[in-house]
Amino acid sequence: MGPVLALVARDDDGEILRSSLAVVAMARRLGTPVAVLCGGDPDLVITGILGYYGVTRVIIAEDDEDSGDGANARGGGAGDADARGGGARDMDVWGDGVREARGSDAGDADARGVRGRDMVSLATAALVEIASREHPTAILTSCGPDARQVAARVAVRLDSGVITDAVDLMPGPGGPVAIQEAFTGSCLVGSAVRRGVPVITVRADAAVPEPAAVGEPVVVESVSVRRMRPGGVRVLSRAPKTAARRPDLTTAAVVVAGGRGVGSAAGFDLLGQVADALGGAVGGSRAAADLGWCPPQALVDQTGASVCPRLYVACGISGSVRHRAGMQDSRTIVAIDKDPAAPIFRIADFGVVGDLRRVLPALLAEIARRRGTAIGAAPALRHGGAPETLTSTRTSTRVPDPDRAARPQAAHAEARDLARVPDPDRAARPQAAHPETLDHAEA
Amino acid sequence: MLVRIIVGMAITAAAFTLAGRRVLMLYRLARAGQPAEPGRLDGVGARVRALIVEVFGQRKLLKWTGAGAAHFAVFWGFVILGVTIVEGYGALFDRDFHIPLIGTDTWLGAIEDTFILAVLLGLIAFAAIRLRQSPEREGRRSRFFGSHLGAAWFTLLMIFNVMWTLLLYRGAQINTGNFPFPHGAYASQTVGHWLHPAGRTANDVLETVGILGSLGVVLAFLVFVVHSKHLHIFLAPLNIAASRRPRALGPLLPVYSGGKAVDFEDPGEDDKIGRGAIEDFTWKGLLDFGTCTECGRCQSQCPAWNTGKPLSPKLLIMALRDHALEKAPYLLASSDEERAALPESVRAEAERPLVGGADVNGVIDPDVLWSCVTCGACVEQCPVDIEHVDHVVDMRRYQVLIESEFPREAQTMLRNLERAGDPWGRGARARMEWAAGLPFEVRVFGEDGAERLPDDVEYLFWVGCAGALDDNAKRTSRAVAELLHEAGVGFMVLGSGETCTGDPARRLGQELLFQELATQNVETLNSAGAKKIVVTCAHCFNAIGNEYPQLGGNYEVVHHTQLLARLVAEGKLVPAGEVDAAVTYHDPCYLGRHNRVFSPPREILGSVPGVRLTEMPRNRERSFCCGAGGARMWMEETIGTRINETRTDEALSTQPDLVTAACPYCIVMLTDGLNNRKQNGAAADAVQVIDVSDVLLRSVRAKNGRSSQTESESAPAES
Repeated sequence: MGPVLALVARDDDGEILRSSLAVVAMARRLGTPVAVLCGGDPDLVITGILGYYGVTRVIIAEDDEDSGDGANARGGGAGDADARGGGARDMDVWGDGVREARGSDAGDADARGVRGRDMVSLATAALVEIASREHPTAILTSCGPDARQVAARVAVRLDSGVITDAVDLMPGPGGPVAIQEAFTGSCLVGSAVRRGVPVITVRADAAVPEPAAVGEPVVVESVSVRRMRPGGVRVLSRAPKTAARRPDLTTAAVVVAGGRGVGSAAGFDLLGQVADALGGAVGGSRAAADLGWCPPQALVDQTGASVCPRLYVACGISGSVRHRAGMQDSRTIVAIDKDPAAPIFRIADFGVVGDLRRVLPALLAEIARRRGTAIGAAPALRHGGAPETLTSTRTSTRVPDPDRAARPQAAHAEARDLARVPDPDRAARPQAAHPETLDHAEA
Repeated sequence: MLVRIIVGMAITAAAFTLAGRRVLMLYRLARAGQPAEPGRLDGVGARVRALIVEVFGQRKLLKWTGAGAAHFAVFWGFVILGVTIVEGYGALFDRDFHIPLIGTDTWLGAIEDTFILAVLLGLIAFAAIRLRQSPEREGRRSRFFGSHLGAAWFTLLMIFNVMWTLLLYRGAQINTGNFPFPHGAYASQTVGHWLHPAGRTANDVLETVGILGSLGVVLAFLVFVVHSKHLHIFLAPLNIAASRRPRALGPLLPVYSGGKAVDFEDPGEDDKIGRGAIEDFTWKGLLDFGTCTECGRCQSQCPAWNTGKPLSPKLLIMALRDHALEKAPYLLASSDEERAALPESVRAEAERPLVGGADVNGVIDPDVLWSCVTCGACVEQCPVDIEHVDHVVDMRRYQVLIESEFPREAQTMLRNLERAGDPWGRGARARMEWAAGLPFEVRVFGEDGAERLPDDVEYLFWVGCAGALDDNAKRTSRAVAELLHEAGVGFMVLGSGETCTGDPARRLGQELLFQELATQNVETLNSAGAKKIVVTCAHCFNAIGNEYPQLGGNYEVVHHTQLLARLVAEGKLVPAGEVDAAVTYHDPCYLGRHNRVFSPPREILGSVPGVRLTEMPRNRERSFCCGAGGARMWMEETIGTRINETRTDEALSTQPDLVTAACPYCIVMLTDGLNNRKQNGAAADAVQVIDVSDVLLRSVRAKNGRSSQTESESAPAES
């Protein structure tokens, strides 16, 4: 099996986007994934994470020193950061749904890598360069607006074909076969690119990133490329777009969602604080959206957004089958609710029976405490370390669920000693408690 | 006399020429549609009966007493007064004409005059109704909102003209001695009495002018009628005769193209899937559009319209008719040159997409098409048997299968049906979760290796996706299982062998997926040898009972309320325990209106001691949808107010302790509505939405000395 190039993108904090991990997972179906990053420091965290998901080589694309574009590319960075840092609590707090497009308007390059429009040209040049050198089995990108641009440009320059929105990939006799959905998923179409290196964009929801550590250290290389200059066009100035304060709901690594139990629109502010502390997005159940406590775009439901974050915190959500349809692909589900009989506890990995108004502040305090004592703990939240922070020996109980039995559990055992969420007024009880607990909790 | 004959014949010839040309055009337009599906004219007996009951008996019109009685009078007036037209034409040739044999009988004169007065009274009633419900005053609430008001008033004026000219010449005839009836025609005699002082000559003139005027008005009216919405006086009997019997509710028809069902395994190259253009409708569809009288009874009942959505069944049909008429020259042109020579406006009309937003000048806005809950309230009301729901679904079929244009959020449901066999994507493994913790074993077909249902199994219990996966509906499944167990009825379930019946896909227009799921289920049921099936979901009930026969699945399907009511009546279930509660009952559309199961749920509630049933203002045939039908369950409701909240408010207006229903969709929607109202303080916390079977179970359990509370409350936590 030859190498499969996977374009990996990072977010504003330098974290690897979940959609990129899906690309890596898809790449493994065809061969050995080789991650291509645009600039940035090849730090151990990044390579470690990529290695954890089965990447054996990481290639960092950098501008050829002679190209002289660096200053221009980095120019927008400061302004962008300002816009984010000083951004008022405006209407964009819910996320504007164009996370990957954001950078497009403000080129941004530093230790976290090159993003936005500069990423498009750099990634295109790098992928073309690597592809012509190594003849990979395929080149994969996500379906984000930038990644799609890259895919199209690479395919043109390699004189090959591009397949978009693949939901599955498999090796075929004439090269990789990409599966696309047609007629709303009632038909599956298999296609193969007949000429050149296939370029395929894959849907982020089509693959769940699964750990597949190969055990060998990840080889980090770099490649210097000269970007193609657009002829006759010169960038005169750049203005940062008003940025969303929170990540887009559908691609966020962490989602904090509230339901009827939140009690009011004001209650969602508390959820927002938790989401911000975890770098996540805020969602709402049908009840919350119906009552106007959260905007309709934040609805997580059968008919709303389907989310598949690494961590889903359900606050005051009973967990109807409709809600479940919108979040059942979440990796780790934490449920907080007063009613120990709420169905959400049956699918939760961790449950806290208690009053949100007490549990959430305690959670925030614990996050703040850990942030203070262990620098770097917060970023780890996004990459496998999340559940521990929320576990407490006293306030929560693991509820076995047949559907979810396959989840990795090793991490949770050691987590038990790590956290201490103060017991709010003895209301929080193990889920197996008798229904009467409800009365006590409300009292 | 010669003047009479010449003028009379001339206006007759002119009118018939004008009307004839129009009728020929309309006929050719109808023929431009597709052939209708087979069976449109089968079952002559039922069709004749429908004609008698609905046309001559005016049954559907009389659902609304006042307006119905007025229409009854005018309709019969037109029938009876056909005799006066014969008399009028006779008098053109022979001043002293009377109809042979009965033409001078007192009773005939009396009947004619009575109906002249009845029609006049009817006109007064119509005018009063139109004034009281004027759209100017009532806005959207008026059933005439959007109707052609000018044409309607002109119609009333013309009928009035027919009546007064009739009285005028009859009165004059009395004075000139040419009136056929010596006795009985009391109204004409009164008019004759008034005209008498004018003298003989004047009455001679009035007689001729009156006869010619009366015939002229009738002929002018004829020309007007064939050019207007009043065409229903000729088309309604045809439309009623060709309509689906017993009613265009219940099953949807398969996808037909060119009069043949489309084989989705191997569709023909030229097959038309659904309706993508006006000429894709069948002649029956076009006949529907032409027959619409714009009365707005459908609109007054429509849940979408009544909650501020852009869909009105009346406006939908009117838009299709107006488009068909405007596109007619294009459709009837015989060559490309002819079409190219048509006026710009006609060619522009021909290019309008059938479904499309304002940006593309679509005939039907997508918001209109996707607002329909297929509840059938419009079909139920329509006095001329227009098949609104079928047309909506046919247009959806084209949008979904050919254009792939439909509300995006419904895609999740389709994908889940495809992948997991249920709308929520839980998969077959989760399908027996509902039975966990029941105090007896629920037998699952195939678990013991049997390939046919054993003999001691009377009913196959079709649990349904909601019944197996939705928490409220699981309660219903458990209650029904427990009650069947209690009554000693042998039943089995299919467990993981069940998939969705395909109903939501079909109502959305995704016929392909419906066919796949339904074929699979029919195979499963047939190979298991299922004969009697009991279901708890009104949508499964409709699909399996009414639609699976289209695919070779013929079973005796009963709704759980029917079976439980029978078990109570037979004494096999004894609801002895008191359930002290004020209860109201919501008729699910697909149980009630679509399948006419109105009484069994009420019988069950009536059998439970302590239950005080209060009906909602809109109940039985006029029940107001919960908002979930027509695959609306799987779409967002963003326009207007919420249908479920409107219905919940209606339920709460009866001051209930329990709001009962008999369909998981309704229970989901009403529960949502109730929770919303509780949050706003508009409902007491103790009010509950539950299935009828749950009420029965509480009563039966109480007899057995078991606490209903512990059983039902603790069960979910165990699983």
